[in-house]
Amino acid sequence: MEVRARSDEPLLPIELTVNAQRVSATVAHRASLADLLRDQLGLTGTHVGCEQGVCGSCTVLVNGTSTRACLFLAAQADRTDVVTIEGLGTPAQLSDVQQAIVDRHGIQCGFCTPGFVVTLTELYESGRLERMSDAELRRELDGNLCRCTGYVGLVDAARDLRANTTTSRETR
Amino acid sequence: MKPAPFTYVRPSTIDEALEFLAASHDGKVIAGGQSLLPLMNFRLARPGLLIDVGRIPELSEIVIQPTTLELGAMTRHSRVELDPTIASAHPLLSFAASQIGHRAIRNHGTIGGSIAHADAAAEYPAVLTAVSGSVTTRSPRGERTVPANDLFIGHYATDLAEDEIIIRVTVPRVSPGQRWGFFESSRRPGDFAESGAVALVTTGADRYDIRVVTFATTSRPVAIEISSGPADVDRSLVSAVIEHTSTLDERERDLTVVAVRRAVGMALNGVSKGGAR
Repeated sequence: MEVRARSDEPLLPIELTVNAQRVSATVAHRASLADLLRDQLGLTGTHVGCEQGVCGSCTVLVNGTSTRACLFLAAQADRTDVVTIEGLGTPAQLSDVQQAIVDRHGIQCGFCTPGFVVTLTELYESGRLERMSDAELRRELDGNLCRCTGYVGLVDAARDLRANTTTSRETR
Repeated sequence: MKPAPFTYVRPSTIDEALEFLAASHDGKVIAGGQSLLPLMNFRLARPGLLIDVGRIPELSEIVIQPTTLELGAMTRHSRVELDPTIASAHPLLSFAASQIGHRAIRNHGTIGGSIAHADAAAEYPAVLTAVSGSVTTRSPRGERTVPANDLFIGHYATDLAEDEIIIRVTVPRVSPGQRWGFFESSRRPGDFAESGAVALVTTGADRYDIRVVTFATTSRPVAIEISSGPADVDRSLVSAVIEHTSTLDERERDLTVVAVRRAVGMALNGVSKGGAR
């Protein structure tokens, strides 16, 4: 896919993979990864809340590592592998993380949800979750803010994932 | 908000980065970007040139020596926190790293960036000061070593010249006879610390030698040393803290006393309570 920025500022060419698809893009030097994903690629599941790294609603995976798309330049994403919420699970086949959140009613308005899914996906796939206490688990989630749920359903989903880690693992 | 326009460059070597820095009147190095980009998003910082040193391999080298850790400036907080080799070689540094921000921030933030940025609430400057560490820098004038004591001048202020880049951080290991403690408090987990302290304690038969470094309430790490009998530790600590924090208001001084007590308490009791979470 090739996308060009609609901008009268000088542009930089970048090459990256987004949700397993190769992308060639030209971006403004100051464009964030969030800007690229949302405005140029139409992947609006990554949300922009605080633009300072606190709320977590923009969290994506870059080379498998959770990343604030608002604190990562599109230019820095050159030659990286980006995964957004659109690349995790499908409506017909939710990922383990997504299913756990649904089962525990960890969603209301949905604004924080993609960020939580990404954060939990990294944690779940890292193998660190299964050894964690509740306190450590909560700490891993403190970078994602939710204004609706009071976090109970989200923490319960994380606990379910911690318990399920050694049994059914989704293969993607 | 969006940052003001700038030019982005990504050199492949340190010397190339230095050339960019020297040639620009408003160039700024970006490492992890987790402190710089928020400031730029708020337009509190408006460098005209961003020099990304994130893919210079030399800056990510790590060497564990018998008495020190040598960490390349691009070493990420998550690595210091989670790498078992680093954690066992320097549990104090590893614990301090675990207190920085949130997971995604720690995945990208770097030790060089944190130290160069020198936020008063930052953890690494205080730890580096406590263990009497240093940074190695390079500039057009060559390389130099700057001890932590000389490096941190105030909030966002260091001894670094504008054309100088940190390439490596030397972190002395806590010696076997010493105990360490670390405490910070904040309103919510992951927020900037409101108060903090790092403690190194050597316990003799009838004497405790304590070196404690405060941060967050103080605009730079402030080292306090006391030597007292076990029964007098708290009284000596509190009066030393008060003596060193005469410019702080009452609330900040109280917070500092609490942080110092908790950090020293952690060192003495060996209980891992030293964090905001």
